[in-house]
Amino acid sequence: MKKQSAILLICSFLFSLQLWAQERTVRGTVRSADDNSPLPGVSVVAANNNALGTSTDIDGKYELRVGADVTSLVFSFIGFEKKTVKLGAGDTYDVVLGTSALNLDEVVVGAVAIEREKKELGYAVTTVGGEETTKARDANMLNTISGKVSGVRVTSQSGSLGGGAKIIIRGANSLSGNNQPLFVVDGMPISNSGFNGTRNDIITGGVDVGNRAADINPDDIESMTVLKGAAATVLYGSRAKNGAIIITTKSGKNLKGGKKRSSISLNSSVRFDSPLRLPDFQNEYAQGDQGVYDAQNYSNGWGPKISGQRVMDYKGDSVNLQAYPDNVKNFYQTGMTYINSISFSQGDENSAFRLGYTNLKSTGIVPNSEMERNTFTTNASRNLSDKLEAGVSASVVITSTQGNPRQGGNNPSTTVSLVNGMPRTIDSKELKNNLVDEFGNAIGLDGSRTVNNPYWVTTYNLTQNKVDRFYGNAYVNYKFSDKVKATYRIGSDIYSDVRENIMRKGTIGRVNGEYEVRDIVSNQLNSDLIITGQHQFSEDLGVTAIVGHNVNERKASSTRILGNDLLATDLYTYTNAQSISNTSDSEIRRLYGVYGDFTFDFRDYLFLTLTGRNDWSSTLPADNRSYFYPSVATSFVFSELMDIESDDIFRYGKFRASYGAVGSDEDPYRLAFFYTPLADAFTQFVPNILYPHNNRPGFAATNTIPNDKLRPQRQKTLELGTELVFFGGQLKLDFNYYRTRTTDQIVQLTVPQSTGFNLKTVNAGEIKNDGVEIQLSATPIRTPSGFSWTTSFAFSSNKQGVVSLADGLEEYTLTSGFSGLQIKAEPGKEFGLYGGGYERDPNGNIIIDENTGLRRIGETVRLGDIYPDWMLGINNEFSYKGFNLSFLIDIRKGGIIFSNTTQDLRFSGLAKETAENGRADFVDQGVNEVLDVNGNVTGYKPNETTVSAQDYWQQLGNNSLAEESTYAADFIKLREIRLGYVLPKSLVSKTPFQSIEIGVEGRNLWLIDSEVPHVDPEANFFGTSLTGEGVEFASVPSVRSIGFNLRVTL
Amino acid sequence: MKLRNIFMSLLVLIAIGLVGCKKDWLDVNDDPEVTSEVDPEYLLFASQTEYSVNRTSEIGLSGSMWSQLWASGRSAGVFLNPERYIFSIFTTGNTWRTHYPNSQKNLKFAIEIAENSEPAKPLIAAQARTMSALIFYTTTILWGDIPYSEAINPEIDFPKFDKQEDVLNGLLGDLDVAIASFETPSGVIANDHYFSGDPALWAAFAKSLKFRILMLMVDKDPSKSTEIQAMLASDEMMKAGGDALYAFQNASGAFNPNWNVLNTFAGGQNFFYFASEVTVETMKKYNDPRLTIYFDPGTDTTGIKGVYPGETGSYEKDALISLNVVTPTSPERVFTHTEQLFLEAEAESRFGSVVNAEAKLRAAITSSMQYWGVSQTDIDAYLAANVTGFPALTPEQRLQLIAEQCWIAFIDKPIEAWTMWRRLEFPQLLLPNGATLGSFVRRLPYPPDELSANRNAPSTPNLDSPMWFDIPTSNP
Repeated sequence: MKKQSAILLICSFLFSLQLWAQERTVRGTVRSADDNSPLPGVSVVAANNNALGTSTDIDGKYELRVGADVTSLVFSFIGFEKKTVKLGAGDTYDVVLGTSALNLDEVVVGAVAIEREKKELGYAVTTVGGEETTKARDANMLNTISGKVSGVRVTSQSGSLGGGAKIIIRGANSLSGNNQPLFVVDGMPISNSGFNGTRNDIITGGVDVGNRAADINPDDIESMTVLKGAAATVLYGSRAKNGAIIITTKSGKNLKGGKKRSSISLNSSVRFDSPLRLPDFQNEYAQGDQGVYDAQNYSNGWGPKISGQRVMDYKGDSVNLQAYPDNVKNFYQTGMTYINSISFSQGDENSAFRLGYTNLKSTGIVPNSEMERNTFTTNASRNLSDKLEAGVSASVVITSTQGNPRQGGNNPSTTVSLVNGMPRTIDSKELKNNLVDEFGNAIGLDGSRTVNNPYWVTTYNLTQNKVDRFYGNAYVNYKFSDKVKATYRIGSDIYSDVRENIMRKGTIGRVNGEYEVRDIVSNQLNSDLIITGQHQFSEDLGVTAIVGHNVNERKASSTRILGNDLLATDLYTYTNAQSISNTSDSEIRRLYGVYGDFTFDFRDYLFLTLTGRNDWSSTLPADNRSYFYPSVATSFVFSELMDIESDDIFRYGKFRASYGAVGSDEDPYRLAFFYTPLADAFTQFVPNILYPHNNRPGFAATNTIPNDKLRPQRQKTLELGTELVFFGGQLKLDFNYYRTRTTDQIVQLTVPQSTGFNLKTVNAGEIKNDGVEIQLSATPIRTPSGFSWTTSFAFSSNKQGVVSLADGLEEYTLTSGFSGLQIKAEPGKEFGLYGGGYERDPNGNIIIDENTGLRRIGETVRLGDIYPDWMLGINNEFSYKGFNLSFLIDIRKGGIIFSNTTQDLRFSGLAKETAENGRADFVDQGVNEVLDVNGNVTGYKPNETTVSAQDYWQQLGNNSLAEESTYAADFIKLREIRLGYVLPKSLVSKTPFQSIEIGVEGRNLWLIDSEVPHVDPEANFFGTSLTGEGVEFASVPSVRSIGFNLRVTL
Repeated sequence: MKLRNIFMSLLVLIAIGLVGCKKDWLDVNDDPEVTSEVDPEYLLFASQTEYSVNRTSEIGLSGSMWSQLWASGRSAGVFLNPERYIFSIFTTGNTWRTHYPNSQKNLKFAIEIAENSEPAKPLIAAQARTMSALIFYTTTILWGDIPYSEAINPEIDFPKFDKQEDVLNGLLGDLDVAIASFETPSGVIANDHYFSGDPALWAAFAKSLKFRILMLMVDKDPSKSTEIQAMLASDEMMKAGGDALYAFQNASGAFNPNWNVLNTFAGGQNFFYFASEVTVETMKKYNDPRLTIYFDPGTDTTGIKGVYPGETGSYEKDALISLNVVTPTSPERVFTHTEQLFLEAEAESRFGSVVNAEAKLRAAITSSMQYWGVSQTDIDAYLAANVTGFPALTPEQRLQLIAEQCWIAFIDKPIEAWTMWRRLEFPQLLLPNGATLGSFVRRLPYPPDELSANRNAPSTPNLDSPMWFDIPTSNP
C-alpha cells in the first residue's frame, strides 16, 4: 500500500507537472490579517498579464485559470498591502493580506455618490472616516472635524445646546451672504440653513438655533469627504462653489463575514459640559455710582468698596455687604449629554440593509435648558436582477430644544448679559430663591425694576425649538452592460422648524407678557439622472464619461405671530394676547442643469478630466438665466514611471492640477421693485406699534434697490498639488496651492441710509483667495511590539483680498452689526472689521478732552482683518495593543475679535480691571488740543486733567468705541483628547460580543493661550449664515466637555 | 443596437424635459408677499407713524433727558446716559433710519405715485411734501448739516451733506409748493390721520412749519424777518383746533409708546421719569398751577422738588412726572396751536408790536393751560401775576419770559424745547453731574452707520459746538 501510494503520488506529481506546463486552475481564500475574516472583492491578477485576473467572491474565494507562463499572482485590495504570491506546484493558495499604511488605491466618494479612485483626481480631497465624528462627540458633528482637515475652518457659535457651527473652506469667496459649503448625504444635497439669518433676529435676543447640518447623526456616518474646491459644482451646481461635504451613510454593504453577514452595534456615551471660560470679575466694589452705594437704581459695580457695611439690598432687606466671587460661576450648571445608539445591519450578495436609531439627550450649562434628538436612519438596497438595483436611504430626525438662552441685546431676557451684569454683592443662590416679592411682583436686580433676575428668565421665559425633519432619496441603477450604467436618483429634504418664545407676565420690560411663534417650513427636491459609460480605446488609453441632468427646487416659508399683553398668566395661546401681529415670508427657487464629466486615463498613471455644466436658474433675469461653466483637471502619478521597490524611501508621488470656472445665481426676488404692507413700527424699549393703527394700514417701499440686469457671478480657481509618500507610508505629505478669483459678484451693497435705502443689488467686485494647504502625517515610531506614534499636521493659510469693487466704489459694507460695527471690503485688503476708534494727534497719541479728562472718540477706523492668516491642527496618536491615546491642538493666528462682553463689563464696573489702583482718580496718558481764539487746533500738550475711574472706564466701555474692546483673535487650544481601549479578542470571545471598545474623551478642554480677555476668542455672534465674524455679543459661553463612551458589536 | 436605442431614448427624454419645462417652470421669481402697486396715502401714513413713534419713544425719551426738560434720576442707564451726554448709537441710528429710509423714501414714492396716478392726487402729494419738510427740519435740528438735496435718490450713492442754511432754505421752497396745492384743492384727502382730510387745515399747518423755520433762521439770517412780518400780517397759520396730532389708542399695540415703557416695565406706574430741577424751579418762579398737574411729589410730603441732571432721584424726596403727562392715549403733538402762539409772541416782540406780542403770549399760555386742564380763574390769575408787566420789560426780559413759558408748555415736546433753548438760551440749564462735555449739548453725533457708509459724510463736530442757526450767548 505504501509503495502504491508513493507511486501514485509521484504519478500525480508528474501529471500535475504536465498540466502546469499547459493550463490549470488555481484557487484559494483571501483573508484579512486583522481578524482573519474573508475579504470579498480582492483583485487577483497574473503578475505578467494585467488582463488575466479575477476577484474574490463574497466568501473571499477565487478561482483563476492560468497558463504555464504565469509564475506568480498579485493580490490587491483597497486598504491592504499588495501581495505577490509565487505559484508552485499546488493549486490552492490561501492568502492573508495585511492592512496598508499606504492606501495608495484609496477610493473616495465623489459627487453624485460615484466612487472614484483618489489617484484619478486632479484636485484636493480629504476623507474623514466616520469614526472621527464619534471619537470625541459633539451634538453638532461639524465641530468634530475642526483641526483635522487642512483648509477647513469650523467655528462653534456658542455654548447653546445644539448651537451652530460655521464651516468655511478655503476662505470666504462671497461678498454677500453664504460662504458655507454644500452638504450632500448619499447623493442628495441637504439644507444647512440656520434661518437665523436676518441681522435683526440675531441682534434682538436671538437664540442660537444651530445649523441644520447638525441633524446629520455622527453614528450613521460611514465617511465624510471634503471637496475643498469647486470640484463638486459640475454635479451639484454652483451651490458647491464653496466646497462640498459629501457624506456617505453606513449601509450593510461593507460588513465582513460569511455569505450572510449581520451586525448589531451598540454605542453609549455620556458627556459632561462646563463653561470653558467665564469673565474675570472684580470682587471689591458694590453697586452704585461714583463710590456711593445704591442698590435701588443700579445693577453694576460702581459703588463703594465692599467692607461688610450695613445697607439695603436690591430686595429692600437690610444686609451686610459681602462679595460673592463665584456668583456667575454658580449660575451655570454641569451640562449632561447622553447619546445612545443601536444599529442593525445585514448584507448578502444581493442586498444590504441597515437600520440605526440614536437618542441624544442633553441638559445645558444654563439652568432649564435641554435638548432631545431622536434619529432614525435606514439604508436598504437590493439587486433585483443582474442589471437592476434599487435602494433607499432616509433619515428622520426629531429634535426638541427648550430653554436655550437669548443672545445679543435689546431684549429684557438676554440671559448671559443679565448673569454677567449681576452686582458682585448678589448671591446667585439667594437670587434663585427670590423670583418674586410678597406681592408676587418680579424682583429685579435693581430696586427700580429695570433689570430682570436671570433666574426669572431661566424659570419662566423659556425659548423652544422643535424641528422635525426628513431627508432621503431613492435610486435605481441599471446596468446596460459592464460599461454603461444609468442611475436615477430622486430625493427630498423637508423640515419644519417651530420656534416659540415666551415672556411671562410680570417680566420686567414685558410686564404684560409676550408670546411669539415662528413657523418655518423648508422643502427641497432634487432629481438626478446620470449615465456613465466606459470605453477602452486601447490597452493604454480609456475614458469614463458621465452625463447627467439635474433638477432642483427649494421652497421655504416662514410665519411669525407675535402676541402682546397677555390676559391669563402662563397661558400661551394667540387668543390670550390682547394684540397680535403677524408676518409671513415665502420663497421658491428652481434650477435645472445638464452636465458632462469625461475622464481619460493613460496607463493608470495619467488622468485628464474635462467637465462642463449649464444651469438655468429662476432667480436671474430671464435673459441672463442660462450660464455655462467648464473645468479641466489632471492627475499624474509620476512614481509609476519610476522603478520603486517596497523598501525604497520614496514610495509614491502624484502631481495634480486643475482649473475650473463656476457660475452662480442669486437669492430669489432681487430683481423687481416692490411695496410691502407693514406689520409694525419699531418702538424702542417696548413692543412695537402695530398696523393697522386707527384702522389705517401702512406700506413701505423696499429698502433694497433692486436690479433687473443682474448677471450670473463667476468664480475661477486654479489648483496645483502633490501627494508624496515616503518610508512605506510612515511619512505622507499632501501639499496644495490654490488661487480663486470671484468676479461679477452679486452683492447687496450697503448704501448710506440717507439715500433712502439700506442696500443696493449689483454685480460687483473681484475677490481673491490664495492659499496653501499642507496635510502631513508621520509615524515616527512603530515597534514590532505594537507600539506606534503617529503625528499629523493640518495647516492652512489663506490670503483673502478684495481686488476691486464696483465702479466708483471704494469700500463696501458686508454686514453691519451692532454698535456701529461693520464688516467691510476695501480693495487691496482682506475683509475687515470697522468701528469707532480714538481721536489721535499726528503722532498717534490719543487726544484727551481737557475739560473732562476723557479720551475722545473719533471716526470709524479699520480694526483689523476678520479672518485668520493661518490655522494649524496638530494631532498626536499613540497606540499600543488595544490602547489608543490621541490629542489635538488647534492654533489660530491672525484676525481680530470685538468683545461686547468686555465693553459691557467695563462700562458697568464689573470687569476685574476696573478695580485696579483702588479706583483712585488719575491722569490718563494722552494729549490735549491747544486751541487758538478761533477754536482752531494749533498744537498738542500732554494731558493733565484728572479723571475718575468710573468716568474713565465708562468712556472705554462706550458703545461708540470699538477699538478699545477689539483684540487679536489668535489662540492655542487643546481641542480634543481621547483615550480608547479595544478589549482583546481573547477576552471578548468569552462574551456574546464581537468587539468591545471603551473610551474617555474631552473636547474644547483648555484655552492654552489667547490675549482676548473675558471670553472664548472663537465666539461669533453673526451666526452661520452671515459673512460676519469677529464679533462676540453676549454669547452663551462655549463649553468644555468630557465624556465616556462604550461601543459593543454583536 | 438595443442598448443604443435605450440610451438614445433617454437622451431624448432629457431633451424633452428640458424644452418642456424651460418656458414657465423657471418663471417663479415674483415674491408673493409684496405688491408693485400701492395707494400713496398708506406710504404717507407709515411715514407719519414712524416719525411720531420715534418721537415718543426713542429720540423723545432720550431728548427729555439731555434737554433737562425731565430728569432721569439715574433710574436707568438708557435715560442717565443721554443726560450725561453719552449718546447711544442705537438712538441716533434708529432715528436716522426712521427719518431717511423709513419716512423720506416712502414720502418720495407717495409723491411720485400721487402725481402719476389716474386721476392725479395732488393733495396727497402736497401732504407728503409737507411731511417731508417737517421731517427734514427735525433731522437738521438734531444733526445740523444733513443730506438733503442729494438724499433719497437711488442714483446717488453718496449724498452730500448740505449746509443747514441751504437745507432750511430748501424746505421753505418745498413748503411753498405744498401750500400752493392745498390752497387750490383738487381731489380728496383719504385716510388722513391729522386733519380728517381738510386741505385748509393742512395749508395752515404747512404755513406754521414754514414760520417755525423762518424763526429758526432769523438770528443768523436777519433778512428772514421780512417774511416773518408778512406771515404775521396775513395771519393764515395754524388756529385753535388745528393741532397736528398723531393719535394713539388705549389698546394693546396702539398705546402711546412713552406710556407703554411704564406699562411694560412697571405695570403703568412711573418709576423712571423724574421732574427736572430746571423745569420745577422755572415753574416755581412763576408759581405755576401746572406744577401739580405735571408732577407727583415725593412721598415725604415736602412738596415738589426736581432732580439735578445726572443725579440720583429719590422716591421720597423728589417729584416724578405724573400720569397726566404720560397717558396711554396722549397724542404725539407734532405741531400745536400753542407752539404757533409762542412763536408769534416772540416774532411780534422782536419784529412787530409789543402789544401784539403780549396778546399772543397770553393766548399761548392760556392755550397751554387749557390743554392741561387749568381752570380759567387760575389762568387769569396766572396771567395777571406774570404777564401784566410785559410791555415794561426790556426786549431781553420779554424773550426770557416767552422762552420760559414756552419751556413749561413744552413739557411733552423735548426736541422743540431743546431747539427753543438753543435759540433763546432760557431757562438757565445746569451742567449735569457726570457730564462728558464741558458745556451743554448743542447737536447729536452722526450715526456711525451713515458715517462709515457715506464717503461724503463729515465728522461730527464737538457736541457742544453750535449749529449754523445757533448763536450762543454768554448766558451759560
